[in-house]
Amino acid sequence: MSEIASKIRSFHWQRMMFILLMALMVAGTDSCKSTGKMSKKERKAQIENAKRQLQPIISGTTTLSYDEQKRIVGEIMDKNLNDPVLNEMIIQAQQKLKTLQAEQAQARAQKIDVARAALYDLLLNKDNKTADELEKELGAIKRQNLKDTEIDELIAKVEKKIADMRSGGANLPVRAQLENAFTTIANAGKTGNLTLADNTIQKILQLFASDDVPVLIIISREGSIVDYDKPTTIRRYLNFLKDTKASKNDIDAIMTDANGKIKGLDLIKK
Amino acid sequence: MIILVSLFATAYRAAAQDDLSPQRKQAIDSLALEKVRDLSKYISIIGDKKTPWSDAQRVIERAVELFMENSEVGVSSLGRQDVNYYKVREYFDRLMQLNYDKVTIDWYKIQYVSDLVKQPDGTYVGVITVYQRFQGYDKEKGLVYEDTTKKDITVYVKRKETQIGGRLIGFWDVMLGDIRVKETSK
Repeated sequence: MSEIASKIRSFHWQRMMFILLMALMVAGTDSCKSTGKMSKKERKAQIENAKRQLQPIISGTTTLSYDEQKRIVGEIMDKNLNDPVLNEMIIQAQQKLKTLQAEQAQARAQKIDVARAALYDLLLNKDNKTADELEKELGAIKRQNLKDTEIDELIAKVEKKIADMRSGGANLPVRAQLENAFTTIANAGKTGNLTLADNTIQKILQLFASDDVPVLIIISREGSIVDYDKPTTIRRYLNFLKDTKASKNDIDAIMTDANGKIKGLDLIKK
Repeated sequence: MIILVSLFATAYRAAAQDDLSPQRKQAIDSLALEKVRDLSKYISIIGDKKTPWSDAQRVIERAVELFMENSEVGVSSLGRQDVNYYKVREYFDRLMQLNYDKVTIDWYKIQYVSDLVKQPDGTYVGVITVYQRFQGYDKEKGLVYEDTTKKDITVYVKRKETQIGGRLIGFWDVMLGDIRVKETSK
């Protein structure tokens, strides 16, 4: 026992402490390597990986969305790998993203234009569609989720129109409104109810861009040759219906302006 | 090339006018008849004492537009042999002011007596005959005058072109000529 105690006392404690301290320092340096600074090997691997990620973005072959591509480029930039080739690729990728953004903006503008035109068509309902048919087409536009104020307002108008149609409201398609008005004016002329005829004329004129909107009446259509009666204007035509007490033409085409007002009307002999 | 295409288009349009298919010819025949029927309705409105003055004036304008310039309308009466001819506007003004309390004018048997035939200048000319039943009423005495007159109307139909909203429109302009009295009976 005294022998063991003697060995402990003779142990070089100072040397032991120094060795332990060195060991701790070495261990500390290793841990720094894994969290902060990279080894050359790791840096090289990260640069290669970043290049691999950037290449499809630059070449435009990536299937990732614009937002995902933007995130990847941002992450690579944040790593600050400071490689000349990689830096050049980052610049190219950023330029590509700018182009992509401009293309997307243009495509969105086009989508909005198409949707706007389609919504005006739904509002006018020249083809006399049912409320269900209108709702189906409106649904396709809504699913595009264009997030545009004007489109949203038009969607609300079409929704109101559909609701009115379902509740049997007076918001009939333009074609039907015109046909009804033509019949009403002719019949009012026949029965001598000139007040009704004149009131109907005034009311229906509001659908037109002006009283002088041209009205063309097709008397014959043979292949590409179309023969018309002498052109007239909408006010004259409506008065003509009142005077002749008959509506002898069908609606062939309705042309509208950007405000949804009728700017041209083609009729055809029944 | 553009000149060639333009020449071709012009030639094609000219051919379209020259060689009317039976269907197109029938369409312009009907159009001219329709204009005469329109006139009959205008005359009825203008002569009707119940027609408001402003409406009558508007209808007179439309009726005058149906005629060629300087056209005349013959007016006959059972009480006299000769037929008086008036320029169309004067005829309509006189018609509006006839000295009866009520006037009814009906045109019937409106039909071609001479088919539309193409003239060297490209105008189609024909004659349409109508029978007019005229009745004049007095407030107290009732029907005081009536006659039936057969009238011939010369019609001129010509194809014209105009630009409307950027579209080239080929239309048939129907113009009425003189209205000649052929016979008058009770």
